Amino acid sequence: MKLSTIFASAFAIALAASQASADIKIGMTLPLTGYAASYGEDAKRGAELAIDQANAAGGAKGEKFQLLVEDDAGAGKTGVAATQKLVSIDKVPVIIGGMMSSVALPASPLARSSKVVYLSTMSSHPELTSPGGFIYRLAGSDAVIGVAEAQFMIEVLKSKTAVGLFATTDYGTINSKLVREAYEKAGGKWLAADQFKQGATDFRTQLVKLKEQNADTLFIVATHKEAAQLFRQMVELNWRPHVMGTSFLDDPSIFDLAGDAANGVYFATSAAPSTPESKKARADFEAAFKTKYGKDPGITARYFFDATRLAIDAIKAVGTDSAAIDKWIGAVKNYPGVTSPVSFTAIGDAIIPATIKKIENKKFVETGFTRNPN
Amino acid sequence: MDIVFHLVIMSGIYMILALSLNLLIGYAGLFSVGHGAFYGIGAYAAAILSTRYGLPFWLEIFAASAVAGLVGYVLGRPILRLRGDHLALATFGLAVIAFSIFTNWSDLTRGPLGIRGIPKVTIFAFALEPLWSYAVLVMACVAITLLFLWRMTHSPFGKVLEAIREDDVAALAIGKNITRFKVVAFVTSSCFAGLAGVLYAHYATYIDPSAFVTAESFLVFSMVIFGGMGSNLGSMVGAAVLVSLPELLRFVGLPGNIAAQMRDVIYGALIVIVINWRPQGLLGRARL
Amino acid sequence: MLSQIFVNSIVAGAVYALLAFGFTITYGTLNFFNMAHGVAFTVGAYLCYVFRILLGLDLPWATVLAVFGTSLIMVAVDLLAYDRLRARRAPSWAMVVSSIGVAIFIEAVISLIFGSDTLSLRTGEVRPGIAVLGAIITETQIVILIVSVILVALLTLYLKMTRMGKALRAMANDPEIGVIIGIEPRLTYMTTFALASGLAAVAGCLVAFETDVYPTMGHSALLKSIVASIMGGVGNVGGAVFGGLFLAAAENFGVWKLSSSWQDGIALTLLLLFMLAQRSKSMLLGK
Repeated sequence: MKLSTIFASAFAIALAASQASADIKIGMTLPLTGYAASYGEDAKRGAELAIDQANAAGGAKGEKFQLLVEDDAGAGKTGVAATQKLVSIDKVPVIIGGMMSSVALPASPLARSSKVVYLSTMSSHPELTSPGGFIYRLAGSDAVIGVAEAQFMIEVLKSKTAVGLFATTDYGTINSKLVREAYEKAGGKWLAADQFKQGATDFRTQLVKLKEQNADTLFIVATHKEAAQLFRQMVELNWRPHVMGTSFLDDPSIFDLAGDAANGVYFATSAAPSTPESKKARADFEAAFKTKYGKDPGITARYFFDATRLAIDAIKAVGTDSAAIDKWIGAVKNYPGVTSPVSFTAIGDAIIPATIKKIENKKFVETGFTRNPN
Repeated sequence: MDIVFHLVIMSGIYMILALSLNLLIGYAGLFSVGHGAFYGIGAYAAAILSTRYGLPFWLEIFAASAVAGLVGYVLGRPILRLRGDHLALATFGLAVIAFSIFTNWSDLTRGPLGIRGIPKVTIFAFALEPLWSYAVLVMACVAITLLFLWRMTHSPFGKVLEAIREDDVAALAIGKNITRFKVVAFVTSSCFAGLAGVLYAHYATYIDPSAFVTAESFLVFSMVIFGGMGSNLGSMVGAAVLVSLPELLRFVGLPGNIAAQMRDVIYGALIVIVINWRPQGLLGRARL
Repeated sequence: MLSQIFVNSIVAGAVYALLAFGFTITYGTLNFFNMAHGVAFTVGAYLCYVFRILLGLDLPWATVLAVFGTSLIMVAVDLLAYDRLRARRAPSWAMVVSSIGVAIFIEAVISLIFGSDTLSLRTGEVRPGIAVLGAIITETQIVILIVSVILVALLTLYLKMTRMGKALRAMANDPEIGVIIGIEPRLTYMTTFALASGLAAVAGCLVAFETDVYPTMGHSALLKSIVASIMGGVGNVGGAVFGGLFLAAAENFGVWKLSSSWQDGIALTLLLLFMLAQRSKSMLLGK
């Protein structure tokens, strides 16, 4: 059949072409399409900046780094295919990706069994990491973030009663549970919670329901797009409790989407750099990002920048043997990340403190309130 | 190499889906766009039975498919009395409701957290660890599906189904209980869709609702149309092409962020072109 | 509280009614289950964005141009993707399949041109809404209501009074009639299409004022159109309006009493139950 010969030859040609170059390849899967596409694009910007900077500084012993980005569409099926390609065809030693748990969870065992290092970022699913090496999670732990959110509310804002509104996704379910537990443990009274479908734009009915509870605080777990609508609708409905969100709000595009409706909103995110090296790295990063892209980075850009730099520095130190890379990454102590200094636990979770920030007049304002993982 | 086995596995799973849907659309003339529901039910049943109850694979594969078939029976009996567009809509409704249940009935399905740690398959203590061995399993299932459906459609039962497709009033006139035939076809189709779900669950080792969105049903539907309604071989080719095409396009060298949209552009255009200029698909017999 | 739910329902219902109105005209007159109705909604919203933000026109002008633009585009689509099938008297499922392809294609093109990000149409600041009888309604929502009511009224008049309108209604009853009473069929098809797409585009613009634009926004619009039309009775425009309001009310009351994530499930379960209970073409308003 003619059609199959065409497919086969195209496949073969492409296969040959992709193995031709001698650059050092770092694999990456991102949601470039689908629901999380805007986060994927931000992440890509951060990652590419890291690659550019590394190559401008001479690469690794003269060889240039190359980033191979595959679309995982934020879905398991596509994510597995993307990871599979990077593992078996491109034969990369390390893959950065798994922003969405539905990708990270099926793709990481695949990488592990092929002895490819899998650096997941942002995914907060508790079952991602396990003993066995090769799988790392560069993300603030939801437990630490939940505690920070709850304690800030109670200690600093003197909150007494709270309600919650969260997306029916894995991060929504996990986060809301942890915040509630931490809030009640710290002495607060949790009155009610409601949910919304991922990607929803109309929260009015839920907001009206929650408003009736007369709580002084609203905890939300929503992406910045969803949150922007939420805040606007809260203004329209004339309900202005204290609002606390998660690190998904740590994205400058919320300023335009929400405008003044976001003023006074707090959110928990991974701590600002606490070591001098980390502080400098952050400042340099933000300047370079702004110069290159003309906009400010969001949290995904920061995480992916860090993850890419980790991979780059590992390769510079120990070469492209993935077992050596695995050992090197596992052993880092206070690596100067632009998100925060990075160290990993024995099963690959990053130890990142959480901090609370506030949105005011299209700016993020530090509150100085930080909680460390224990 | 592994990527080829991956494509073989995914193609095989979708072949089973397309073949079973073809039974409904191509032979019985029942337009179902809810096939994803049974795919998902089979996958979740497999996941729950193996992770929570430790059922061995050979038992679980039957149990999970049976669950899918049972649901197909319970829902099919009332729904199959609808005709044409209403039937299509009802089956679409099934897909939406199934997705809603997967997402929200957290006690059963763990909701958006998904079910992780679905064990690799062991057959007679031979663990199917390497990909090629799983690909063999999937292809064996495809062969079984094809054989079963082929026998079914070339039997007297199959002839009645075709008669129903052509003109169900006439079929009624010669004394056939058309609803019963439709239900049998529907249940069979659902069982095999469930089987595909089992194979997927054990391959990905993690399932969550996002694998069973309503778009999946449309995807399988397109495979049957593209391959040619009424042609089993066509359904298989349709499945293989529509699974492989997006993956092959990765290699064409488009920049990452437009590659996926380009895939959809081509995919959408393909559907319009095929239906307008070659409605019988690649190998089908249906005429417009 | 109840009054707020009521307000939410009629505002959402107004949008659903517009969508359903367009869908039902196409389904009733052309017997075409148009799966690309949702992208007409999306195209309308994006064109509005283009005219308003990129070209800086005033909102009313942007909307009008967006609606015309969408109708033009969708008529072109009709000629490319459906006309041939109609000429060959293809079964209705063939056009449905073609419309699925069209929907996928157009959505991907929009993503290519505008990116997958959410774009905002609003330029002003957010203001608290107006309190009315214990509920709060915003200015934008009032505009949505007014526009919808006017449009529905105008269109109902059009269908009742004008020649083309009567032709459309006649064909909804019997497609062959068009030929018999001497109406140029192609013109009728294109008018139907333009109307339906235009309505979807209006809905798209209205929603865009409130909640911004993104490429997949047409998915839920399509779902609502289908459910509302079927519940109101195919081809029955009064029914479509009723269906839209009913669906919005069911959703909002459902969210109020149950958890919101079951929303889609509620809509489809309702639909299934209605269809099973009736098993005939129309429902509440009898046909």
